[in-house]
Amino acid sequence: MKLIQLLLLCCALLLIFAVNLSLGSVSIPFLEVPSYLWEGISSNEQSAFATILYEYRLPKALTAMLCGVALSQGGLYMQSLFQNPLAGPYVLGISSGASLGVALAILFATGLKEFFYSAFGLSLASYHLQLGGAILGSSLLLALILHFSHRIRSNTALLILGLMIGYVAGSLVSILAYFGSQQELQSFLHWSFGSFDRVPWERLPTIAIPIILCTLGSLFFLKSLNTLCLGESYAASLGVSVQRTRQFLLLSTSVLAGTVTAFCGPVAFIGIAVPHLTRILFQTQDHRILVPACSVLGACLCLISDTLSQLPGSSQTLPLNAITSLIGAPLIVWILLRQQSTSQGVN
Amino acid sequence: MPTHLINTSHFFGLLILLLQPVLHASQEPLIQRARAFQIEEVQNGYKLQTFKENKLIQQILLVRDSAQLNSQECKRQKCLKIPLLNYASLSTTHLNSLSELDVLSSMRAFSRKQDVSNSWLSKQMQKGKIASLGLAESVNMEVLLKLAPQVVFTYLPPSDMIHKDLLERQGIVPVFVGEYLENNPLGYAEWILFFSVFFDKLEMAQKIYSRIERRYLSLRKLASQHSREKTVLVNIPYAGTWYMPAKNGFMAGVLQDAGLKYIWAESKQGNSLKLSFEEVLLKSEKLDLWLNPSDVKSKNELLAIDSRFALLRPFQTGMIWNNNLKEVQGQTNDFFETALARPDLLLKDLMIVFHPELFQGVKPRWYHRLK
Repeated sequence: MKLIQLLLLCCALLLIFAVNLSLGSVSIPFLEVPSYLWEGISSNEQSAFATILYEYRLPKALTAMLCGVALSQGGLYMQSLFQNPLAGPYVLGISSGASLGVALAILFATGLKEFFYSAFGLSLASYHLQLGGAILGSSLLLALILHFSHRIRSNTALLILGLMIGYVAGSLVSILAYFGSQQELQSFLHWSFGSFDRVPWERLPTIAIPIILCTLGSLFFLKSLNTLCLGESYAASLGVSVQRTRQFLLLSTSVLAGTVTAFCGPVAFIGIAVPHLTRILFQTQDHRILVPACSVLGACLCLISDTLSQLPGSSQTLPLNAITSLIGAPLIVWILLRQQSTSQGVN
Repeated sequence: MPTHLINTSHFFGLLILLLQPVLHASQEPLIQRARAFQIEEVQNGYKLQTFKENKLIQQILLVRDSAQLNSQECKRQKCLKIPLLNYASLSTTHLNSLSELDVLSSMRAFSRKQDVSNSWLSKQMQKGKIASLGLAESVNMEVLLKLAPQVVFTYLPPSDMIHKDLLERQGIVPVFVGEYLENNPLGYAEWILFFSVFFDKLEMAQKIYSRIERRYLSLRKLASQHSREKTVLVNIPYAGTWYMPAKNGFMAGVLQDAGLKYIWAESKQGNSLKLSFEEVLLKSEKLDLWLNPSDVKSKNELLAIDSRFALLRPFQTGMIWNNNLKEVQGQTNDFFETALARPDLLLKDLMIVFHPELFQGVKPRWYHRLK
């Protein structure tokens, strides 16, 4: 049953992917999308439509899907790790940590590039620095929250702590932005709006490889994740290496959230909303279903958000972050209200 | 051969040798004041270089003959056939030069229509004949790829352009225009020469620039003869910080050339000074004039933003001038589109404000006194 549901979700993803490819500022007839796409892949002399589809929309759609996979997996891992249904990369300030790393990378780009070139002979592009900064920032923040999580047992207190650390990271970003030049500030501001169109073909491997590796890595921890949900001591008594699972989740979430934030900006609410939505749809706590289902649903939601932010038929585009928040926030409220009424019904 | 002839030929040879560096030196570079670009005349075209912080950012070879595009030279570096047939621009600061060069009709796309004050361009954008691309940082790639202009003039350095490689693969060349890096007002105006070579209109641009330079220098000379050492305050605070043009910047340069004492020149900070309200208040007694207070049209509008503005001396003496006279008259304000590229007009306006006795009966183009 669950497998059929998953299969149906995959079909929905394919449909949403096709719709995403066919809609944009330039209108391309839906039925002609495959032929233009093929022209883009096979021919060197491309028409404008083929170029738009193959060179612009296709990498954008793939990026949206990868980000959906990464953020929803990151959210699921954090919820399992903290045993807290409200945990997520954005809520716990992990994205703020990544933002801090990116802000540092943008502001000190020239100095950092010179340093890496003179010290290691590495000629780095701005996006390499941003990726490194984001992963480092998110890792540090997550490690800090995890450190406190050993001392603080209350879920609410931990969430508040995460929020506070996120605020500190956010205020450091503001201070850095204050000292930046007008151009650096503008560059940072546009990055913070969020967008999936910042990953052309040549950069796609840089974002795809970490996400694919983390997803493959998670396959080895599915059972451990299930057992961890029953409590750390119980998991340990069943022979699960709690420490190793914890380390994997920490590293994986930092890489997933950091990679997405570096390229696409701090994308809000996908990480927290998708795992909940998946649990409601699939009525399960089994990570062997939750991880793939979360990934597919996350990809769907990111593609839908991207399609809406492109304002099809108009030459304007809306910030992606605004769209994911507009979809995600009401979804969380609905989930909370639903949980409240379910628990009242049970009582 | 008679000895006197040998001596004469030696003499001429020696003379030529001695004069060679002098002759070479007398060939003045095409660009005199701008620091962020250089143009060099090469065989049947131009070599164009742009710089940022003294580093070469972009080099393009502009060639008149299509056959040259297949040459070895063009395999080594970016080449473009001139004159351009079409292009896109992503900044209003380009518009004055493009309009003066009479090439606006070749434009296929521009940044945002709400920022345009040029009436012709505004109409074309409203009719949809010239497309809107949005801001350079989030440019609408689909529209850009569909229209495929030969060149996109942008303020973003190539390293900050995410889709640079994609654009180049499609034959669209992003051209970095760093006129905002110029500190010298005339250096800014000289960027018309930068645009002109893309349309093979260098001579026309040189004539336009020479006129601007001549007017600017004569106004500056006039101001220096009548300097009264007035002190000036610029802008209003934004989110608690008063951004003041730095002493080496464009605006401070024009203000000083207009014969004003720019007291913020004492600071040695970067490009734009960040001051608190308190720091400005401390110098209030020394201030004679207040210029460019955001987009306000009256003193009441200024007070509505912050009632503490009334504490400043220029507010009490009524010496507040803003650059939006056209808006007050119900027209579109072209100050930000024109004033930077035409420092002569800006200097004249400021001198009418500061030295009205020198321009009796002449009304400013942009400035008006707030009532």
